[in-house]
Order: sequence, then C-alpha cells, then structure tokens
Amino acid sequence: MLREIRRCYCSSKINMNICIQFGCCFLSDRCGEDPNQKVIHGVINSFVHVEQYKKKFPLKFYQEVFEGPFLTKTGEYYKQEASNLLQESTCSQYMEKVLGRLKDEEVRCRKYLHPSSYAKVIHECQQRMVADHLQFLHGECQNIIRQEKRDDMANMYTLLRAVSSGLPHMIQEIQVHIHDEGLRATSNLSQENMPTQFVESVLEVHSKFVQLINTVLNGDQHFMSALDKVLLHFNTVYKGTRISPPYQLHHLAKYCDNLLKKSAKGMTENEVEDKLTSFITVFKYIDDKDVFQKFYARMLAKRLIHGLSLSMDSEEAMINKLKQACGYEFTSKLHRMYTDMSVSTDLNNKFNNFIKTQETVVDLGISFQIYVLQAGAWPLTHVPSSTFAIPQELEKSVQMVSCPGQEQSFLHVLRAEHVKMNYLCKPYVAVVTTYQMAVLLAFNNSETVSYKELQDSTQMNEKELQKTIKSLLDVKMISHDSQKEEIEAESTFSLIMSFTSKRTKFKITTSMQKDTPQELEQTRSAVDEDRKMYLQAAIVRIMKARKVLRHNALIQEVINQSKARFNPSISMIKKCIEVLIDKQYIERSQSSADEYSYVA
Amino acid sequence: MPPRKKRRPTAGDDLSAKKSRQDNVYRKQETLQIQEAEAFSSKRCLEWFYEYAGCDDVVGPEGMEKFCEDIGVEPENVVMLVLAWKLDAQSMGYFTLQEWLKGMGSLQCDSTEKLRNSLDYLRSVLNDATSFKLIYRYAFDFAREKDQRSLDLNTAKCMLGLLLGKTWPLFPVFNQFLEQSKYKVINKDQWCNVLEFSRTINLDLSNYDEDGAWPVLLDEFVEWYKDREMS
Repeated sequence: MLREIRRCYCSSKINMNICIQFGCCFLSDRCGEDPNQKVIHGVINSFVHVEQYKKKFPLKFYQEVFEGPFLTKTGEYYKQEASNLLQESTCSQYMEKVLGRLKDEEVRCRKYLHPSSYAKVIHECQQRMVADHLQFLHGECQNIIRQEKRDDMANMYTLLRAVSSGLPHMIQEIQVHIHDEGLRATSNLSQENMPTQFVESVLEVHSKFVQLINTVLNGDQHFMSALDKVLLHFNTVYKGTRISPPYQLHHLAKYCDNLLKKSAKGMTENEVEDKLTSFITVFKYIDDKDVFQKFYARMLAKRLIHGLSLSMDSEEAMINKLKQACGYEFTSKLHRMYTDMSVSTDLNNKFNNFIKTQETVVDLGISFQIYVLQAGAWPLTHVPSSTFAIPQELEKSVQMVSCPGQEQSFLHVLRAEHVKMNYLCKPYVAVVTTYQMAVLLAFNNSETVSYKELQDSTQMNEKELQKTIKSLLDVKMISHDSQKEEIEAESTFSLIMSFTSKRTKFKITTSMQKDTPQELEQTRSAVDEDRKMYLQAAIVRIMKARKVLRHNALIQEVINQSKARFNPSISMIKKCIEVLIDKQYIERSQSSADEYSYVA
Repeated sequence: MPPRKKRRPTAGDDLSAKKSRQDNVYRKQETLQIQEAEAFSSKRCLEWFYEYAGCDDVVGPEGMEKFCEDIGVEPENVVMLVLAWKLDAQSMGYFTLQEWLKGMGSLQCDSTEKLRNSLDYLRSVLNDATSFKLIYRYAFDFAREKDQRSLDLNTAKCMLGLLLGKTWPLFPVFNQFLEQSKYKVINKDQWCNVLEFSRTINLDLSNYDEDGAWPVLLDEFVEWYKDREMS
C-alpha cells in the first residue's frame, strides 16, 4: 500500500525532474567530469526497487519513468556527438572515436544502470552513430578495402556487424575487390608456362584473402562465402577474357602433368605433394570437372605408358586426392589405369624371371616390355589411324605375345622401340615409334629407298607415312634426295651416314606426342557425349523414382545431381529430356503441358 | 363483293392444297430415287475402288492423281489430309482396299459424286479443335517415312503450311526460322508442341515462358524471333 502510494507520488512529481537531472549527470560523465557515482546508481536502483514486489513486469516502472526518457536523451546526445565528430575527423578517425565512445558507454552502463538496459543503450548509440551514417561509412568502405587498410577494415567490420543491413555492402565491396585482384593477377600471364602461373596466382589470391578474412574480419563466414563465390565465378571471367573453357581446363591438367612428370626441376616428392595439395584447393572451384578429368586421364596415360612419371607413389597420391574431392566414380578410370600399370610391371618381371630360369636358354633376340591395358579404362584411340604391316623383325615377338581366345589390339602408335644403329661411327640407340622403326628398318637392305618401296613394305596410309618420314627428316637421320619440301610419290630417301647426336640414346619425337587442337576438340566432343549420357541416365533415374514430375522440379533435380561433375546448361537438359521422350522413356503428361511422366 | 371476298381465300386454299399434294408426290418420288442412290452399297464402293486401283489392292500414285481430279481437289489440298485421316490411311499417296472400304463406309460414300458432296463436311471437320488436334497428330505419322521416327524438315514444313498456314499468323516466320536452322528432322514431340504453341502463345510471344517445358526448338525460335525484332 505504502509502496503503491510512493509509486504514484514518484511518477507524478519526481519523474521529469529526476530524469532531467540524471540526463545532466550522464552528460557530465560523458564529458569527462566525475559526478557522484554512488548517488546516481542508488537513485536509479531505487526506480527498479519500487516495483520489485510485482510478479509481472517488475521493471515496468523503471522502464517508463527512467529508461524511456533516458534512451531518448542518449539518442539526442549521440546524434549531436556524431555530427560533431564527423565534421572534425576523417572516416578512419571517426570509426576509432566511435568505437571508443561505444566502449566508454558500455562501461558507464555497467556503472549506473540496471542490466536489462545495457543492450538497449548500446543499441541506441550504434543506431545514432553508425546506422544513421551508414551511407557515409559505406562510401568510405570502397577506399578502405581497395587500399587494404587492415585496421580500418577491422574497425569497419566491428561497427557494421552491429547494425542491420550494415555488412552486405561491405561484403559486396570485398567481393569486387577480390575479383579485381584476381583479374589483375591472372590477366598478365605470359603465354608460356601459363598453366603454372595461372594456378599459382589464383592460389596466391586465395591464400591472401583467407588470411585477411581470418585475421582482420574475425573469420566471418559471410566473407568466406563471398571469397568462394568470387573464385567460383573466376572461371567464367577467366574464360571470358582470353581462353576458351576447354583450354583453361587443359591448362590446369597440364599444371598437374608438369608437376608429376620426371622433368620437374629438382623438386622432391614432398614438394610436389604440397603443390598438388594446394592445387586441389583451386580445383574445388572449377566448373566442368569432367572436362578436367578427360584431360587428366589423357596426360596420365601418356605419363604411364612412356614411363614419364616422377614416381608412382605421387601418381597414386594425386588420384586419391581427386577421389576425395570428387568421389569414387570420378577417379575409377584413373585408378584402373594405375592398377594396369602395376599389374603389367609384375607380369613383366615374372616373365623375365621365367626366361632366366628356363633350362634351355630362350633368346628373344630383343629385350621387350609389354603393358596389358584394359580397353575401357584408357583414353586411347583403338581405331588405328593407318593400316600397317608389322616388320618381319617384330612379327615373331608379336606372335609370341598373342594368346588365342582373347581380343587384343596393338597400339602401335604408342609403342616405343629401341633401335640400335651400328652403321654410324658410334653405336646410337634411338627411341622411336613402331612406324618410325618400320621406315628405318627398310634402310637395312639399302642406303637409298624410294617412297614407293616404303609404301609397299609398311602398308601405311599416305598421311601417316609422310608424317613419319618427315619426323625422320627433321632429325636429319635420312635425307630427301631431291631436296624438295614436299614428299612425292617419286621421292627417294637415303640414310645420312654422317649423322651425329650429342647423346648416344635419344628420342625421336613425332607430332603424335603433342596436344593438337584436334585432340582438344576430340576431348570436348567426347565430354559432351559423356555428359548427355550422364544427364539422360540421371533423368531416367529421377523419373523412375518419382513417376510424375513437373518440368522445373526435374531440371532442378538434375542440376543438383550433376553439380559435382559439371554444370549442365538448361538447354542441354531439355534436349536430353526430348531425346528420352522420343525414345519413349518418358512422356508429357496428358493433363498438364508442364509435367512429365515415366513410361514403365 | 363481300361474298367474293369470302370465297377467295377458300379458292386459294384449294389451290395451294392441290399444289402441295402434287409437291408431295414429286418429293416422294425424288426421295425414293435419292434413297436408292444414297443407300451405301459396299459392292458399288468396291467397284469404285478398283476404278482407281486397277488390278492391285491399293490405290497408288497414278490412281490417286486421277481420283483427285475426279473429285475436283488438288492432291495437296488439306481436304485430302482429312479424307486420309477418315480412312486412317497409313502412308501418304496410298489407299489400301481395307482403308477404303472402312473409311468410305463410315462416310457413306460409294461414288465420286457422293464424296464430292461430302467435301464440305470434311472441310468443316477442321474447324473442330479436338478433331483438328487428332488430324494434326495423325499428319505426322501419315507423312513420315515409315522406317524413320522423325519427319524430315521439308515434309514437315509442307505439312505445317497445310495445317497451320491459314490459321497461325506466325507460320511464315516460323517457316523462315526452320529454313535457317540446323534442324534436319522434326520429331513427334516437337511436332505436337508446335500446335500447342500456335494455340496458346500470343503473336508477340509475350506469354512464352522460357523456363517452361517447351522443346528447345521452340526456345530457339522465340530467341531468334526476338533477336530479329530487335535489329
């Protein structure tokens, strides 16, 4: 009863008076003077105590009489303060001062007020000093980020995080900045060594910003995802600027190839391993992983067959890394290629041992090594590009290897033969392809051979034969008698007896071993075919499960399923749907034009 | 005078009564004749068939030409398509005996004369949306080479012209689009959707939904059309 009366009394009379007084007290504290803490704290507490006995809303009185007007006053004060600060300082100073004020205010709150008010007061301050001047801050955002002023960025982040709609703009700015940085880093790459430079500069940008976000921006997830977004987007930008997409992925595969090849200059396995691990970081951002896989498989095949790998362990480690990033299906072929190689090595060893342990000495006449490869796993063309008559010297070995009842094909193009040349002053060993060997063997009988004779003995088609002869002409092992550029039907060739080379063992390269644009084109269309099959399979799977599905839902589902491998274009999905309609796996619903149903 | 006045109507009545009696007689005779002629006779129908088929069991290209001439319709007239549909003919340019008997039976026609009188009816069938859709779909299978799933582009263009040329104002543009496109054949799904398209999409294509289930062919048409309008 007594309290009730007191409440009424307070509210009617003291209310305004006290409020104003406290306002002044706070003000003086804010201005740096030191009012009587105890008194103020006591009085404010008494507001709280007035209604403490009430079960519902015990703080109502405190809120009505003191808190409300106090907040308004605070707001007014800081509004004034903010505009003063703005006039006398730059953005970075302003932010520092505001942060200081906020800190002070928090201490002050703890000193005087009831705990329920802390957040409200701070919020009010933030509103007045940050939210009201959001435009100003956002305007400065760009400069700060451009110049990467770390302290300012940290301040900006702390301030903006507190108010709603503060951060998005900053995220946006960061995104633009990362994007520009990335572009800058990758735009002036020299033509040669492009793959390495590209991967490394993207990595550089990536690690720089990861570090920046972690130290300055508190590792905020929003910024991390902004970074991800930019790098994802990066491909497309990169594509747009200079190089068509398959080339770009080709570059990336080439990057791995360079690392895993023997020629890598003085790098230890561990170094290569580290580089490849960081490559995977970039790899995760790539669209069209299936295209990369195609290129990678091709290069892996070349490394394995020609024995160019730095080490088999590194190869396996890389395959496992890719598997982790993209799943089992993605690397299954790569795995099979790898196993083929180890199985073949075992086989060869066993065979050689077998020969040694035989009682009667088997003389093969030549040393040889053979790889048994699964047809499906290797990205090799099985259709020989030319007819070919196996030279007599080889026939024996080929017959011995063939076993009846199994389908086998010999990939002559990929074979490497070692030809020992005894006719010269030094015995040279040339590593050549079978085609080249067949041509060279023709010179066993005479020093001069006509084009016609070569054609007869090798049975190769014109294009392939000319290419092979050209490669031999290029290394100056044989000469063209008429000294003309073009090889004609009447041309004759003779062995150059004065042939020299710095090394006793060398390799004669053919254009076969380079990546021709043709090959790129082939890969691209092979990928396209694969994708269509993949999409159709996905559509049938989905429709089989759902029976009836709306067009957009189906498209969405297909995109989700294939996202890990590549980003299918809508029109490609639609075409696949149409193919399936045509093949009567699915049909358009009778009832609705926008719906498909599964035909069992 | 008054009596005359009175009599006149009666006389007139008599006259008209008499006339109508006579008319009735005529009419009866006429209907009898007509009924006799109208009554469908499978025998006559069969004879009629062999008039064009010769000794085969099928009306071939030559027979067809003569047939068209006799009923006074050019072979490429849309009415012939409706007729073929009524006969449920399997391939263009041929009517088999079975198709003929069944189809002409349902039309109650056993002579050139009667069929000529039915042509207007056949034309009117096209105005009915449901029948038109059936005819439209039938046209695809009718015109396609039987060993192929799809219709080759030229045939498709002719058939579309026949079916939609008069009713779909966008047809000439669509035809142009097909001509410059890389398409060589039209499959059934695309074919059916062209009709839907012509029926539901505004002439300015404003209500076309690119994200809808339309075949890519039509997506490309719309894009091509809009590009063309722009430039």
